[in-house]
Amino acid sequence: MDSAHEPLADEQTEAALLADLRAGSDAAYETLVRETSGRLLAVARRIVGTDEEARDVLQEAYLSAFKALDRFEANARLSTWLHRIVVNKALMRLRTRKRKPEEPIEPLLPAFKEDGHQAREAVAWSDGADVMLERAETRAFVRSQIDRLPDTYRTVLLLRDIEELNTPEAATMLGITENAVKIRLHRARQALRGLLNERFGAAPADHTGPGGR
Amino acid sequence: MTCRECSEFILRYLDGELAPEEQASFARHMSLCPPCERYLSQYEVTVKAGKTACKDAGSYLPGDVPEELVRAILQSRKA
Repeated sequence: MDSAHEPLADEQTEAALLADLRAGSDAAYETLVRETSGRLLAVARRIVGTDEEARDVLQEAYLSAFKALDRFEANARLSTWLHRIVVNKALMRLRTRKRKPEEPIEPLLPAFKEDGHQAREAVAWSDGADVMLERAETRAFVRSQIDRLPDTYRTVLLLRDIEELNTPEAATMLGITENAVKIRLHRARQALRGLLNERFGAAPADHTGPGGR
Repeated sequence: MTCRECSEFILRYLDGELAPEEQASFARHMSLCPPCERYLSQYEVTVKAGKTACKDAGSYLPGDVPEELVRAILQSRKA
């Protein structure tokens, strides 16, 4: 489980912390920020991409959270609630960036021949996944390839696969339909698989004969 | 079912959302088409790779957050 989703403390401790926060205790606010800001800074950094912007996002998110604390419903976990606020603020930050045209995702998707067969058959990857991912260098490579995805797709991949929001939550945050979330998630995973294939698959020659079935 | 159709079924297959007849024809295609079987397996590895790779991304632990940022956040409440 992603550390961003780890509860802040057991429920009893969290309830006590919440009561202290609502009472305006400086110490409680300090505990909250010190306990949660590390994980949340990493979340913001993954979405916006730079430390500087991630720090701004974090500050905005806490300020919003502090103001909304009275409206926090205790049936959610404080850590989950904060996580959602950070994700939302990070997405807002992306939206305010100067829009530059996105690279098309199509070149990264699998190609098919007119008859529906794979145009380039998937070839076996060199190592087992577990072996590959044991290497820090491989994990860094995977992250760098996620960053290459067009934002429209990268954000959905991050929200669903990494931040572990469900489809309706991701749809609400992004202001798109659940079906659009599913389509973009599938395309994002396919594109990422294509990017990883460039390293892990032996260079595939164009397959001109009959493909699969 | 063609390879193209099969590839469009992967997400719903992994989410357990295929209807029984779709599930059957997906499984039949997979059992007969090694390239699609490899593709499915690589798709699953890709999802896992993303999750694993991002777990240590940034890896800010509570003590790694710059002190001035913590201070600024706490100050903003009183501004």
